[in-house]
Amino acid sequence: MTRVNLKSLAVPVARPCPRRRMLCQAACILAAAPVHGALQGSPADPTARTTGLTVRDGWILRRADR
Amino acid sequence: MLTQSLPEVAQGQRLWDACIIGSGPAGITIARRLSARGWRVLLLEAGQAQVEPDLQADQRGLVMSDLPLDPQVSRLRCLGGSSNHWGGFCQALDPIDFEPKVAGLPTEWPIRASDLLPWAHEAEQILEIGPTPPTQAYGDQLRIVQMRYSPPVQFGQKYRGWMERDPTTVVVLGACVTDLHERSGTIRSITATDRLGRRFELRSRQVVLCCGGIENARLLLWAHARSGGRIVSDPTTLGRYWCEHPHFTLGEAVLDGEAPFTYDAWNLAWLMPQPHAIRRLGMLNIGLRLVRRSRETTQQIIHRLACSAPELGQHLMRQAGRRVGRRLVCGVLLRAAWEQVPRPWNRIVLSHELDRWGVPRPEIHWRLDEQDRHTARTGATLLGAELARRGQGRVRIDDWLRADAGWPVDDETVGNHHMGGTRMSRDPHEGVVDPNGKVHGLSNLHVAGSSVFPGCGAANPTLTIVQLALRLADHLIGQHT
Repeated sequence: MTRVNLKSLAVPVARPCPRRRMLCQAACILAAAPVHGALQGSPADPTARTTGLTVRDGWILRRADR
Repeated sequence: MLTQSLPEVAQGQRLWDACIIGSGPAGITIARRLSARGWRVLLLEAGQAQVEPDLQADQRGLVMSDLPLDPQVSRLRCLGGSSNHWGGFCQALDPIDFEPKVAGLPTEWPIRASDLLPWAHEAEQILEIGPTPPTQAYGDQLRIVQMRYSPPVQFGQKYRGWMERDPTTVVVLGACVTDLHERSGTIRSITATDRLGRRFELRSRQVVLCCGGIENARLLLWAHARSGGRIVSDPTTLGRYWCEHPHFTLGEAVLDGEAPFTYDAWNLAWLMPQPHAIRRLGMLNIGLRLVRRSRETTQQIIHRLACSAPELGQHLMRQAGRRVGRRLVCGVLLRAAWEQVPRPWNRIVLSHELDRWGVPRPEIHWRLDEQDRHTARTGATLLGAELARRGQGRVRIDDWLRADAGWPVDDETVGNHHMGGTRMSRDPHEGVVDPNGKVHGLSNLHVAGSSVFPGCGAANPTLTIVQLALRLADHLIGQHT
């Protein structure tokens, strides 16, 4: 499952929560994961994969950015 | 002939082939097309050749919105209409804009992009722009697009000579249409009021409303009320599903020299989402604009980035101002204009305040909602993710957009693109005009302009307005041959 830090986007990490659908989608974009897979999947969902991106103070960064 | 004498015109001609109300891009385009086929055309313009303050004051409306919106500023009451102050930005709607996008969002048109293609070339000639430029994929989710710029064509100025010389067209200035009269499903006459308040009845085989994205709905609402509900077969949607293109700054970015964006004469580079991304992510269409900033501003943006990623910031600071290939590392402002969901509560109604001729001024109810925020946030995130993935730049999304804060009122906020209110539909219960622009239930009343858009895409509307106007004119010609 994605380890993208979305706290600074005020977006929770992707989880199967229909009422949060739109917010979850932002997480899916960063994770480059199919929306439905990430919404319906578990942390072990094979369709979700890490892209090496993170969000810090609003900046969309590579995880390697220091 | 171009005249200011409504009385002479009213006494001289008993029955016109077409009466066109409003001389903006749609009205003049239709008038020229019909007159070229020998139709006797009456083109009525409420304003004068130039903007006059007292007439312009008639554009005033009441606005119920948290965001700045002022029809008295955005709509011009004069020959050529609002083409007298448009920016000339031209872009065709995307094919997906006509198709279903997101379940439950009523953005679909009853026609398709291919239905407008036969008039694309002629519309481009009228607006003095080139053909549709190719797009270029930027990753899986985005594409780089190019804006086309009209000089901009000001229709009143460009076609004034034609108006003065054309043998079958009469253009009357200072002629404000204040009522439509229906009998047995046909508009039998219209009432036009001159500057002195004198009223005249005019008769025409066909009547076309081309008054703009607010006045079309206003005049129909007024005529419908005056007629006892005989103008529109089902008024449920009349005035409703009104849209704007929200315009906001979403953030900023620093791009390195490898970013493949080319800036146009306005210092802008443009991106839009791919159709499959729109559908998959539940967003609507959005035009992302990268506004190239100065070297000093670029350094400020990099400084801000350095607060969150010091090593990256220092690296970029060393690169700033240096050419990489043919391009400079540069800072950009990330701005966007996007497609709003047509909502029934975003609407034009008649207010209790009357204009000088006793016609109620429009009252505009307009607000943004969570879908707007989702589209804006998703669009910015797509770009930021692709830039970071490629290592070609970094995007920072503004605090207000991340934090679910209110919409900033000190931004551009709107594009002055007024759409909807008399939307196009196959079903009379779902719209005001049919796919050709004819008002449902009436035989000879038509509407042209962006008020018929059932969905608004993210493209500037003028090119589509001209294409639709040419299509409607040819439809009218086809009916009478």
